[in-house]
Amino acid sequence: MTALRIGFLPLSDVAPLAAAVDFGFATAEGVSIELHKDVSWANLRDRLLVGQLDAAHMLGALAISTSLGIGQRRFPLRAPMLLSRGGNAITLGSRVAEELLAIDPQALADWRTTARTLARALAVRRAQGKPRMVFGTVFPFSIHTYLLRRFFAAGKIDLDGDIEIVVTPPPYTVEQTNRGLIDGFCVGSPWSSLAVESGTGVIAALGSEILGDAPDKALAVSAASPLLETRDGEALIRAIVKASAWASQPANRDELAFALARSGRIGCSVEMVRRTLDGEAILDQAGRRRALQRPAIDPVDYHRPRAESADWLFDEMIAAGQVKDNPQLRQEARAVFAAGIYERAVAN
Amino acid sequence: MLGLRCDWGADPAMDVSLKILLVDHSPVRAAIIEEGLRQGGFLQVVTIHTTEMLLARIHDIDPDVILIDLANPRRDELEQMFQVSRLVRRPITMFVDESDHEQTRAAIEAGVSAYIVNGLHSDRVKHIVDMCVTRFNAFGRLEAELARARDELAGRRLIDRAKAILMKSRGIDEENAYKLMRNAAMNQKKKMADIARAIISASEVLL
Repeated sequence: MTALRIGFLPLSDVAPLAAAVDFGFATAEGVSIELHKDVSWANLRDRLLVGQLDAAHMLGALAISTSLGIGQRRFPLRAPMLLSRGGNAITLGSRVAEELLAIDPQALADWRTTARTLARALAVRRAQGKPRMVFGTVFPFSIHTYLLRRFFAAGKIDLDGDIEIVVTPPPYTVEQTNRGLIDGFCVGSPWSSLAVESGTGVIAALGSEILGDAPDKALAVSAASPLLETRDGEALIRAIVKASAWASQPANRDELAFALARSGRIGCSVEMVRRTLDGEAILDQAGRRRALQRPAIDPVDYHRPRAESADWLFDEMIAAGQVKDNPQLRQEARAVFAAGIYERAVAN
Repeated sequence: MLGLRCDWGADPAMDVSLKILLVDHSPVRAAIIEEGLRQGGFLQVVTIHTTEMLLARIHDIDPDVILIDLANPRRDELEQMFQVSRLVRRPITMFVDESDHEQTRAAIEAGVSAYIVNGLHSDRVKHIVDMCVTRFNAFGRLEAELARARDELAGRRLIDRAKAILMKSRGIDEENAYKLMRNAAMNQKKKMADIARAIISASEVLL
């Protein structure tokens, strides 16, 4: 068979997909995969749309917004499996962190306190006529956007008045924070760690602390893709689930971290990827650590797409004002996460 | 009517009043595209090479069509601006209807994406996108040729060095040294440059 072309962005949660290719799980299932590293979610979406890619590592929310035609022509996609849940972190620039610590020395002790203190800092800024704060997310339709919104909501922060959410591609977050163009950001691993390591910021909240194991990335294909009907599609899913099970074993983390750190995959230091694989985040330069609350569930369950995943994302999109609630649209969102092929794949 | 502006219903190829913004990190390619657009009669073309202050600049320029190269990682920022901004007229990706599919595919493969202001009929930008795709492809071929020429030159230098090593170590003339390498390349089904590289590294180890 010809190789399946699968696109991805350089993020730690590409691990199951990369491991399927780099450690022989795809070959063992009789699937040949060519991985293509890309630079933007919009590119991955467009390359799927025109058939330049057979599948892509994609934000679950983007798979839904594309399928519903929000902000663009409607193009139905399917997410036959999830690639990650509950990742990401909210980082505050060092200047903002100091501003909060000046208000309350315990401001960074837990994320709710941080959010409440941030609200106080914003009130001070407003009273002094200073500009509002700007936070970076990765895409309008992303768990990162919803994570930031939940974080601000916990501090009763006015999302329209005191905060502006902009898109900052992860590789630019450190530079943009250092230049004062953004005050903080929400990105996936390993980019928050990079900010902590360079002294640019401190991690204020982990995604799993705020949203538990909410759906993040999925493997997306066109709704018309033959992969949804054929053994190849099932074999692809099976290869990724098996690779994920392998990747979750501590004994395999050295090898995996090394493979992921290469420039053709993520392109960062081995230690940084390794830390994410170990399920640990270093929050600041003082070395405070917090465990990533990774659900200790079976890989087959972890990657299963569910109607609840679609509902959850759809509800967040409504809350963010990106779409109006409508039973038909909700059904279409659920169809994106239909698990038929997944069940067939893992049953074999 | 003798108005200066084309009538909206006129031949789309003639609709030169459109304001075009080109965001391309490659100044050379941007110049080639801009020239093409000007030759095509589109005089309102603005080129920017960075995405600094992009929203403010889009607001100032108020383009009808935005073209951006796909290698620019900050393309996702544009998408956000178009989602939330009340400052700019909302442009949308050019996937406006099924009939654009072929053109869209050609554009993505060439490495460029187009956004057009909502409500603008896609026929009116077809000419612009076509020209852009042609020039993007031409630029891509030029780059590939340049890379090949560079490789060739580097290869020739390696071969000359390896030839000199053989002449000295075997006490043979240039022609025979060349033949020896060519035979090795043919027997091993390798490129001359690869054989040359092997000879050079072997001589570095042995000497």
